[in-house]
Amino acid sequence: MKKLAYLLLFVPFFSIGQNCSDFLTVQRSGIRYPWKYDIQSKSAVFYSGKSSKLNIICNEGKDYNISFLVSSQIMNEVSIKVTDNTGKVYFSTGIDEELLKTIEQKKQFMLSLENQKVKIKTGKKKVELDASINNLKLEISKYQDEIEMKRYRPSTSFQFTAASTMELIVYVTASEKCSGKGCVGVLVSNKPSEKSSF
Amino acid sequence: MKLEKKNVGLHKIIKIKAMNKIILFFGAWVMLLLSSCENSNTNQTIDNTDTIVDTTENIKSEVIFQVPSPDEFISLLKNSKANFKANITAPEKTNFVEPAKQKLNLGVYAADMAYLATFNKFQETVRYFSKVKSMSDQLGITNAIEKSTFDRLENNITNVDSISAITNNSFYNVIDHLQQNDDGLTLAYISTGGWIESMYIAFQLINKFDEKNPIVQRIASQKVVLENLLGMLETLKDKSETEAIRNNLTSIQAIMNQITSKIDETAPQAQDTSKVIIGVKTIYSIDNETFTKLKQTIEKIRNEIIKQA
Repeated sequence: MKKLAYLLLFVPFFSIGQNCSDFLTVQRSGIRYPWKYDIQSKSAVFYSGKSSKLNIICNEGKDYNISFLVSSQIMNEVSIKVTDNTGKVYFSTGIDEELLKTIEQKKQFMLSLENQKVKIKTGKKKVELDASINNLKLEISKYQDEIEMKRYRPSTSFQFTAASTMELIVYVTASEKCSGKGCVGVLVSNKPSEKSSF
Repeated sequence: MKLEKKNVGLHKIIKIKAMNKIILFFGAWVMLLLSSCENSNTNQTIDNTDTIVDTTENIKSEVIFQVPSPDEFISLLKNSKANFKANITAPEKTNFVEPAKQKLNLGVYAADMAYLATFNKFQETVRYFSKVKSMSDQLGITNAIEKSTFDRLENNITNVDSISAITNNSFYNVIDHLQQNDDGLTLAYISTGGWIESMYIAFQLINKFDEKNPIVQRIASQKVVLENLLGMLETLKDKSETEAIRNNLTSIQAIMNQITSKIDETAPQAQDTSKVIIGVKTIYSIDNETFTKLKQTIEKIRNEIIKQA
């Protein structure tokens, strides 16, 4: 009978595990005065390679808080970016594909420099190549640290004041490497901005 | 005899144990079946409840347009020193039969309710809340607004913050319900009705045109909201019934495109360095002719929406 009891206990959890529609409901109830829920919030299911572009409006004279909630199954495989309509990035998290590309390019360049170095025995050119290789190593290490930092200690919210009524674009992308399915929620809340800011 | 009795007793015990195993076996099967059914239902729920959710997992990228609720814009009008004006809301006794009109007018009444709540008109707010509730029921958006909300409203009838919070939350529940049920069409209609009515209210609160009037500036800033509304409708362009409202909004956009904007060089720099400030303070340039044309177009579309068929 114990087995039956275990089954009864766990089945409901398996069956509700993938429902994203309720993903924001609990978080919404946690918003406290003077902050208030913004109906532009959105949640959805994400899987390998899926990307979404969420266009929201921020009103002048209001403070905004955008919180990002990601299921544990896909937490390390989701990247989020907030930009305006000119492409200026205000917030980013998760795997930065651009940064990964930059690292790869720099690694390739470093390899080509090392190949050149093999052919040169001594002289000024060799010293220059060594310096360039060392600089590249430092840059690559710095970018890799950035990626690791974002991977293991990701920011989960972004707070700001809108100086004018403007459109913000929230990009959510699940990496191609993402093996599972999970929910991503973008919870928007706002409050009147204190006038002392302007 | 004793031995026979003992054997019968043993048989019974064995039978009971066997029955227990059978029960456990069938129980496990029933649970597995239930869980698989529930799983498939849940997957369907996922597929049906989110606008950006896939049905076939073929959707790899998509664009979603959101617009703020009417109370956001109306609270900004109040902050811009707008004064309350009576009798500008849509008549609440009107009944609509056509679904498209019902949806548009649900948005209209939600904006009116937000206007009345923002300016602390308690009794009127409750009346319009009742209208929003009955129209939500009419559209089958049941459970979005619970009956108990009325009691909460009546108990907080003199509490400014509570009445706004209760009515706003009820409207947010309607929007959440539609988002969860992937009803983008109803959402677009309600958002359009709400935006048109908010704009109508804003125009009614201006006594005399002055480009520098903060309310005029607020109206001009709505250009970006209109773009998102059109974006929302663009995603539904395969639905022919949206053509009429798309055309109406496009005609408004044609006028609003005449509004220009520039960076406000005179705006003081932010003193509070702990805050992240994004964007730049903008001044909108709109002439009297464009303002009047915009006002008339909004009024015409709004009156068409609230007209009983």
